[in-house]
Amino acid sequence: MSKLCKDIVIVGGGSAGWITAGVIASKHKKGSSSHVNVTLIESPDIKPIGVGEGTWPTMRNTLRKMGISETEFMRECDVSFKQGAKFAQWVTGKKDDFYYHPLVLPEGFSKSDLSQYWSSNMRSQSFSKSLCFQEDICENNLAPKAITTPEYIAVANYAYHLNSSKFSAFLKKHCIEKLGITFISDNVTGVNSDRKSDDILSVTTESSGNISGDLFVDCTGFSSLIIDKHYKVPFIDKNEILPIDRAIAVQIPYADEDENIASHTISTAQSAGWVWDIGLPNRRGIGHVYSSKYNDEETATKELIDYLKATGTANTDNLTFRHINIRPGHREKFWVNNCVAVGLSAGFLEPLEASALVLIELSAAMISEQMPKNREAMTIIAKRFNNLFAYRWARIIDFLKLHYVLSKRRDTSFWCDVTSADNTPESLKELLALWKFQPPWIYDFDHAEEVFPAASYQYVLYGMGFETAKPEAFSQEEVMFAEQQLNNNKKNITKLIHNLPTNRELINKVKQYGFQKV
Amino acid sequence: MSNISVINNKEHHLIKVIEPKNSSAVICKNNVVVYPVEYQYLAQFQPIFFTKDTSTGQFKSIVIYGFEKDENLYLQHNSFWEPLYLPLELIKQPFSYASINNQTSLCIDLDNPLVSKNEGNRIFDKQGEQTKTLSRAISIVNEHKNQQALLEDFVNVIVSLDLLEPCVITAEYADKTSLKVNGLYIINRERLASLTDQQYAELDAKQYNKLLKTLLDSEQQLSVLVEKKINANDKLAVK
Repeated sequence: MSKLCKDIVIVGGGSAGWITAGVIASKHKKGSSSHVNVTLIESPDIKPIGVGEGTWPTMRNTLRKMGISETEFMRECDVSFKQGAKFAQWVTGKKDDFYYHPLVLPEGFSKSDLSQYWSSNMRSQSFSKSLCFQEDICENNLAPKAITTPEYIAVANYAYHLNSSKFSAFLKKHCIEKLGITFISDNVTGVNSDRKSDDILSVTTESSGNISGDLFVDCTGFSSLIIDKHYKVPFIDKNEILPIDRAIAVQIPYADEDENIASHTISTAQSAGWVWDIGLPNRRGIGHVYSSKYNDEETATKELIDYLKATGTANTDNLTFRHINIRPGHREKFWVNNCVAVGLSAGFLEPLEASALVLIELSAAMISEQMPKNREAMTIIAKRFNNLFAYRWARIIDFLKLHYVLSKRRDTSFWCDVTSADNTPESLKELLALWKFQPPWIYDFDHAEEVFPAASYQYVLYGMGFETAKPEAFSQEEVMFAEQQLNNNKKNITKLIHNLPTNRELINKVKQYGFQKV
Repeated sequence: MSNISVINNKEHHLIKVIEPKNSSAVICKNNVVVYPVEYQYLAQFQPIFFTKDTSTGQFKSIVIYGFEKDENLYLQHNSFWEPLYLPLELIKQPFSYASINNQTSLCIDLDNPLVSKNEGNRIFDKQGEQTKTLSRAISIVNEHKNQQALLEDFVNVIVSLDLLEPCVITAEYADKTSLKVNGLYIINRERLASLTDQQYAELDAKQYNKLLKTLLDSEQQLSVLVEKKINANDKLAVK
């Protein structure tokens, strides 16, 4: 009989460790038919890197399933609402150049594609503004719901901006107090594996002895203690495709406590990279990611300071700038033997579409939902996990690259190189070739659960001015349907702008009153 | 709009107030907050619901007078009140308590339609002493204040026990147009039945069991309300 999989050991805390712990422990509770023990070992000395202040809408479900109250989460992790991203100066580089990738699907998307109708009849108004009410909500700094909307329920689909280190601490408390996770605060000093199979038997800790388990989750961040140091799984470098490899991060207080909080991530393109701007309730988190091949630290810092000055921060003298190295890419495999890597140990890409936390959620969900019953089943599940996540990383890389290849900027050698077909993945080239003749649609992708749905590709493609061949004519029926949807969108805009509170107002009300469960 | 002023016998010496039951102007909305002390009585005539306060999202118990904006199905011919009972929230008008500089003072809303120079009863007599009208108002406002605190506690308890669930009122008229009302909440019977003995005991200790039973009983009056709506619409309806 193959060895049962009963003891899960997560090595490393941070967002990756605690999300994985919470997702597994809430599904495999004590007393349930599929109960497993979850132990998490976190070093008291290593601080989490604290990247990933932006989530996807999936986080709402992830937290709900863990039994977390949205109100508590928002109060304790400096959370604000996020309704997508605004990409500024990515297409022409001019001051008024921007497009949105909102989180609400284009109007009528579940029934029919309207991008062709939009393209033929109303290209003077942006795609997202014509077909999605969320752009107007964001431009007006409005919240995606009201205080009377129950927790986790959206009026307009939303995700979060959050304080990453507070988020880890919050999850840790929940996991220990509510989900019965065994927590060990210690440094891992060694990995012990079976001589024959090379399965991990235990990890050695400084003062808690050997911690044995049946499945080990490597959440040790960039140090990749098991997946790299022990198993030596090769790292596939993606620097050629996505040349960004440096980040400079800074935190900026608001000018006054009534200042608007943007309810979307603002991403502004620079000479060799871009600046993220994330509004939390108490501060903005801003950073410049750039390519060291095209820009030195001094110039990159100056560009960041110029951005801060242009967005209302007069005095930049006493700010602390954190410098982070990024190695874009991922492991060749994520699950080897009885160890699976989740989080930065699995890989990292520039935070252009907030893919870090969502990959953690997706990994944790698959490990938890496909929890192998025994060692024999694990080999099959590991293979499937590796296939699925290799596919997902490839799709994310394609999607990130899409933001670059469609740019019309050629003002620096960075933009000339990054837009060139030479370092564009074949899979993306093929899609772009197809989309010359037909708009992105569900058949373009292999899985039912895609990381980025066809709608996201439409938003970026048409937001950036891509041209798909127009049909010669539309039937009366098609025109009627399209006009009805466009009209719905207009009505929604008027109604929601009138009814929704500002992002700041709602965040303050959540602090004071909280959301109801129903 | 309102114009709240702390009551004193100099400024308000000549003011008269009309009794709420003699006016149709006391309510301009289709629902009103009701308090635990009133549940028992109200439940004989009207269904009691919960709804969320639009500015805070907090639950409050209400009775409904109509389904459309500003509709009052109990105001016949727009003149007098059909129900015998006027809730505390309405009969306390135009008086209220306000906290100014940590001091609670009795106030009057001078813009309330019940405040008049000609009609109604004086609140101060010629000597500047408070009249029966005012002393009665004071006891009502006191009761209102106590009931607000009680309702808040009751709501906190039932929310923490997940006892509220959304309910949607739907009815179809004979002409196929329909009525749909959202935003109302009632007691979740299943959830109530599944409480632990300890949770029951806690409810019992505060006599909240009784309130819950009354709320459940009040649901029987829903058909009366829907019928009123149907009659008002003058359309035959099937529920």
